Amino acid sequence: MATADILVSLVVLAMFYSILSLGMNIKYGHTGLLDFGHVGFYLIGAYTAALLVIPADVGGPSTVYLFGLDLPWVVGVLAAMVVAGIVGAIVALPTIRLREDYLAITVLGVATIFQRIIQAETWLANGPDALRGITPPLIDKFPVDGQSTLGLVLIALICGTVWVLTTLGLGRIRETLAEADRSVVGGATDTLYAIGLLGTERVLGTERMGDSTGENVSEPTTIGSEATTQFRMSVLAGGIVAVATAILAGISTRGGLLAVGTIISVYTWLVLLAGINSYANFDGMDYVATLALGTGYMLALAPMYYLDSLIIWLPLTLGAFAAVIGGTVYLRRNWSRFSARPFRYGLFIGVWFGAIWYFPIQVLTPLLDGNLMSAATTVFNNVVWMLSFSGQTPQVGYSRFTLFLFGSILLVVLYLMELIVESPFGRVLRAVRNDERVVNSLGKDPFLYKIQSMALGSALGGLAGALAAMYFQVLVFTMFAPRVTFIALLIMFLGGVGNNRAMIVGAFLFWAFQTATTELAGFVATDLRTNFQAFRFVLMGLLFLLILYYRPQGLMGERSRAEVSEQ
Amino acid sequence: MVALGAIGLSMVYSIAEVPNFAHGDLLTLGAYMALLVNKPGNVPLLDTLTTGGQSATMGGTAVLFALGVVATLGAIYMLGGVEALLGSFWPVDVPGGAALAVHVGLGAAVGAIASLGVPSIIAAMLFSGIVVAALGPLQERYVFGKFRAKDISLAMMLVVSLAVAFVLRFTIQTVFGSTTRSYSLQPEVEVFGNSINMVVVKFFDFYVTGGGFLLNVSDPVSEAVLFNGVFSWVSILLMFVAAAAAGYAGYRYRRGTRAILGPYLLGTIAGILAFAVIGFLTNSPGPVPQSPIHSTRVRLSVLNGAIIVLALGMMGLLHTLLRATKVGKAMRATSDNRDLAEIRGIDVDQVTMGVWVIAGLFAGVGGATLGVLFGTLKITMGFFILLPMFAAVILGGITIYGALVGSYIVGLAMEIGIFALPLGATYRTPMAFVVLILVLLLKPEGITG
Amino acid sequence: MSDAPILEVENLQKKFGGITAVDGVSFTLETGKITGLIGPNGAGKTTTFNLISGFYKPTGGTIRFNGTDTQEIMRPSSAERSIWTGASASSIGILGIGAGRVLFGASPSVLAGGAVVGAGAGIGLYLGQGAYRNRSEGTKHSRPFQLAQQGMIRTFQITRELTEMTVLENLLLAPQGQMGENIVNAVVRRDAVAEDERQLREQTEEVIDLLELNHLRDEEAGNLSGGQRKLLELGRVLMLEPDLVLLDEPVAGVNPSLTDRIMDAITSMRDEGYSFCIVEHEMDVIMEISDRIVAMAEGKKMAEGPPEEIQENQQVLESYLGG
Repeated sequence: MATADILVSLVVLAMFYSILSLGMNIKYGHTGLLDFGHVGFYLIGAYTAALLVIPADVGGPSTVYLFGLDLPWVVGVLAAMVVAGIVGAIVALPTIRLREDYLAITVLGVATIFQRIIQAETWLANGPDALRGITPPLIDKFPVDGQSTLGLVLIALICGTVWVLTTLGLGRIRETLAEADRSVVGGATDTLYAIGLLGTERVLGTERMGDSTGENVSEPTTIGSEATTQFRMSVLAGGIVAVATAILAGISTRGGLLAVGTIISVYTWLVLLAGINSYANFDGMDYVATLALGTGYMLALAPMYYLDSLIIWLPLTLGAFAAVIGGTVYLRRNWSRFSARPFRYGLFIGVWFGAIWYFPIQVLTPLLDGNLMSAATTVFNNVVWMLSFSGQTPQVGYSRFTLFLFGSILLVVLYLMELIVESPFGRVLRAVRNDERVVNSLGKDPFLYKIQSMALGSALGGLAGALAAMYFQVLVFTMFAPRVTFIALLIMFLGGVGNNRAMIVGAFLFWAFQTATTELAGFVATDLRTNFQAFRFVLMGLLFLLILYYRPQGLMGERSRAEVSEQ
Repeated sequence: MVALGAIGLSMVYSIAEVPNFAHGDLLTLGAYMALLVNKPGNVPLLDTLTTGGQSATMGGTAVLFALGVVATLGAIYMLGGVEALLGSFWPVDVPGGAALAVHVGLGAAVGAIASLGVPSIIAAMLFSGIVVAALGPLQERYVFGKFRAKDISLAMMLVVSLAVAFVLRFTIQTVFGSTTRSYSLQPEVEVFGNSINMVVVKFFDFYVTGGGFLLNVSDPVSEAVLFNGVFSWVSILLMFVAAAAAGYAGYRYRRGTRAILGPYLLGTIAGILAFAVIGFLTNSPGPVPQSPIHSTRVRLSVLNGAIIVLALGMMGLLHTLLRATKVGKAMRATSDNRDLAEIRGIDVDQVTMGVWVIAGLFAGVGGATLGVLFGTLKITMGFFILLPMFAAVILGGITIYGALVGSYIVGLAMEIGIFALPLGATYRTPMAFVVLILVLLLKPEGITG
Repeated sequence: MSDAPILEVENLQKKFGGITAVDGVSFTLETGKITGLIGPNGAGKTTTFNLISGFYKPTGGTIRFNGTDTQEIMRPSSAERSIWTGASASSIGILGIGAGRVLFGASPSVLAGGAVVGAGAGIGLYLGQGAYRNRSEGTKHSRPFQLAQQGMIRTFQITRELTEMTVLENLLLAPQGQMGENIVNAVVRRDAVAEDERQLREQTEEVIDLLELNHLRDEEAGNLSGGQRKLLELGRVLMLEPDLVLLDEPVAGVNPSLTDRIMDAITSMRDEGYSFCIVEHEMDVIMEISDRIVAMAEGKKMAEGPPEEIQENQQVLESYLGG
């Protein structure tokens, strides 16, 4: 698997876990309902979607399941959300009046019952055996290379959407810079944004370009008109890109696609850099320091790569890690630059670690062999992540389509959730979290709001489940262990309780850690691999405890209300 | 044996105010610790110090001995630091040196039993009980205590304990890997010169006939009938009447007193005794009927019986501790109202640590017992017993005695549920929750109150 | 303004376990007047408050608000009933599917039949238990929000403001029937919700001006002083424009100047036609502000009358000194 594919799968996983955690966040972060059974709704979503979408007879007579209606995915996903939402509400009815700890335990019990039903009832979804044969939408059309009309359309759609999302992200970055008074007019970010918009600002609302500190204090419930303009501009630019892609790829499958793929990939990388830069607000010294530490962590792993004997590498690696961690802790304590921004530094050490893995490490072997051509190809493949080069002509693989699909869904969900949370409805939810009796005394039924919150959160869990069914294509009851709830909780606390956007950050951090350790596990001897995989859960648990203790509000924290009303 | 675990859990829940999700994994830990003694050859790292599957080398013996000593002293240390080691918690005043000597001696004894007792399962249970008793309080000291100092909500505490559970479970998995293990049990045990087979089950057949009730105990291997008796309806009636009378007499005899043998306990014991005695006196042998109205067969091995006796014994000890000692009184007071207890001069922190030690001890023994009962050791075993435990504790209203009653209800519901309804054994755990949810639905105030 | 009393309490009783906290209390609150509820600690004042506002279920006696029994007001609404009906129908329906499978096998028609029968049974069960409960008169309702919707608003002794929300949000939360509180509206009819919200904000700004909380508008309520919190609670009441306001110790622990401000606010509201019932320990304050006084001790009403009369009442004085 090309390294870019690993990256893409990381992002895809992070996306549907974001949705899962968004559901959790609605329940706990906004309403204060601790749902230890969140995985139950994830399960219901996954199986509802799968059973509706799957054809009637897949996998021979030994595979037994109910329905098998062969419906389109849209129906499956919507049904998954509706069913999970309704079940969430029903589960909530008797349990919601209970004390918070009883609620958590009872709902955990309900989730366990769901899991056991799937396991025991063979007629329902093939019982303890895996339910296979779930075909994701349009998968038979991929990979596409622009030689058919459908291929062209799909490529254009994907490229256009990627462009829209990236440009929207860039717009956010500019706003952040402006809010922090760090925007440099005509600086690199502005230039990039101007390029990204492809001149659409001339068509739509030019006057908005210069001054982005909006006024709309009086309208907190509507997304500001400026954001709308930005959105329109981005969409228009994306449209242009899509059309251009279609034309170019239509003219020359090989060259055109290559050109478009390269441009889009480079654009995304640049925006990513701009985003990292805007978040970090680092100077050269900070970059060098984090790079050094990141390199240090990577080097600490070196014995594992090169030495075969466990007895030799284990102490060496552990010793090296101890040294680097010791160094990090020392700097954290004694170096003002670090101690002022520990989280940023920590994050950046991780970013550098990932970057080193993604580029230099991948070409290490060919370089050592003196095979420059191969090294260059690898780098190129990794940069141009949009395309895969396994075939004769450059192609766009199915995983890129998944990325596009999940990305769009996540964006829509996030947008809706922000709307809901910022509305008077969200205000009542927060009030319920704060003090139910006040809500009661003000003539609002807390019960009703809690039920709605449970239904909404569970529906999101169901959506995540449906997407999981789509992504994994196989469902086994063991996939729905209570561990999933734990991960959703971890993501929520990692990102920031009560902060929707933080869920995405949390999910990315979690899956970056997961991916990194999975890659590492590849170097461990086979018989110890399970031990190693268990060990990373130990690390995760410890990390969770540390976060809960030192930063219970999460890395990003809850967006304070005052900040919202100032926007 | 939900009860052993549930007691520890409910103690921690009510006294330390931690709804501890990690408790199940503490049981798993106990089960795996017993492996150290029972099958040292099956434990990573330790296997280099063993010869063959079940006997340790000198090095292995030394390690186990050291572990036993350290764990014993550690558990005592957890009760109250160095002062506890010097005997500060003893009911009588003794010179510190003497107490220390006793403690060290105790540690040495545990170490010796653990290291020389290889591979006895009883030694293994003791060992794992002590080790977990020393490790349990560590959770309190380094995790829950710190969080409690921050005054976090119950829900957060729940999340914290879930994280601890995660750490515990996967630490065990990191060390032991994910392969399923099992104890090796000696089927034959010498007791008073007689060899008793511990593992083979005995059949307890119950028949209901027109004339009464027949109990037939037989050994399926040798096909020997061990006991055979018909209880006529009259004698059964007599048994119940006698039991009720004796029970009530016991209750009256102790009513109003606060002795170790309280009114309810004495009443129950007297009732059961009367039931058994009358039953023994009034039965007569009879043939197994061809067409009973109802018949059922219970399989029970000596081992199961021994475990029940062990559990009862431990509960008895705990009961004595709670009723008869100062520590026990302090524990009950803290359980009722933590703040009030603190005002009244009870060292709440020390009591809390003591609770964790006891909970750890019960979890260790309980875990090993579970391993024996299930026959296999799995990483997830603790988690799945945790759910019924929580159900039991909540049913019992988060009190120690309530947990006992609750665990029997839940245990019965689990067993009867899967027999009575046409459901597979997969549904054993869900049954516990069905009971819990029903109770919460019908009478939530009875539990919160 | 009619002369009918806004609230009539008749033979009110509340037992906790074996303890009788409120023991046969009767009094009336007059419309457009301030009634003070006084008594030593443990007299049952706050319990009476919780009973009137519906947070506790009474053991006995009746409370009539604007002539209607509050128990009637707090009956489950049709929306709530339909939720429960639907839930029991669907959950028992699922059980029906399971039973159908176990008894007759897993053919689709059996499963569908099981679902229908189960759902029917579920509805029947729900209606049946409702009827049973109605017949046995013992069931009491506790739905304070329904009383609040009818115009009876209370505050709490230990102020219960929403600590993690700003002063502005605390006030914005209060008004009833906000369009955006419906989740569908919040997403679909954003413009209308925004318009609704804009009007609310104007109203809120007025209340903030009135209470002179301008400088604290975006402060989280958890950071306010005790007195400011009391003001905020009063502000929430103002946002609601209720018929009857129950204030539980509105000036306890508040400095004198702020006490005066709160008292002024209350009297001016009274003059606008609001009715009040106030529990307060500060005798000077309550005597000064109240039009009538109800004195309680040990769960019973001891005296009732104008403040001057109560001040002379020997029994009341004794209970205070003794307590």
